[in-house]
Amino acid sequence: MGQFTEDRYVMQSRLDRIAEARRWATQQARAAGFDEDGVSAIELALAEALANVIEHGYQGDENQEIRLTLRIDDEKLTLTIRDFGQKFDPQSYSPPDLSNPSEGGYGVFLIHQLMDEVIYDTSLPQGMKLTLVRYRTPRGD
Amino acid sequence: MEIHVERDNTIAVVAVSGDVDAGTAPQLRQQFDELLGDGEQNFVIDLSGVAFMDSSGLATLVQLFKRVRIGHGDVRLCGLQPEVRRIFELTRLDRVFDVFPSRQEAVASYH
Repeated sequence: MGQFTEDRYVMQSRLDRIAEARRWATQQARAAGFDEDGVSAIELALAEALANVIEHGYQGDENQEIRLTLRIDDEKLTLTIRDFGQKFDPQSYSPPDLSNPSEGGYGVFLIHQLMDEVIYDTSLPQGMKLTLVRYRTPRGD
Repeated sequence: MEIHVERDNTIAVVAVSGDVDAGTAPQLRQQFDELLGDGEQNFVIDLSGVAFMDSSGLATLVQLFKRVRIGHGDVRLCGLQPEVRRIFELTRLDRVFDVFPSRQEAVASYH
């Protein structure tokens, strides 16, 4: 493993704070040489993940804390989102029926579409940690 | 986010600028509610000023679409920037909404 940078960001669980967190992540991704396709994917995935934490994990409670970590190395960008709210059960998730337009349910689907790896750690005593990974070059699965 | 509404005969033209995300989408939904309350059924949503939209924005547009379809109205979009176009393509909502390059073309499509 070569060099890496790591930065941390703590935010209040408010929907109107998501834009600032997006800027924090995209500025670093762009500075680290990610192309615009990658930067916009990271931005959207982060926005969806944070909205889920605030609306579902914290059920709209605006006085809670979300801790973000952004690590960038030669190969990939790794974003972790730690919250202390209700856990999301990944097993309960089913992708939306794209042939039938829906008024909701696209958030988690988009995260999986945009990121190369999505890892839910629900083993923590309180809350959970979501890890999102985006590689610099598309992965040949 | 800013919203400007103009009326072109029987068409409500809604120009949105700024970010449409979970924080701002409720404001857009409220604007749509008011227009629907005024009896508007045919919409052109000009997104040329929107560089970022998340699933809250999508949900707001789908909700409007479903409501106007009951009265045989329509929601037509224009001016999608690449980042916004991608979210429509990923969710295949680009097949649900008629999307036009310009506002003029979207408005003209109703005539």
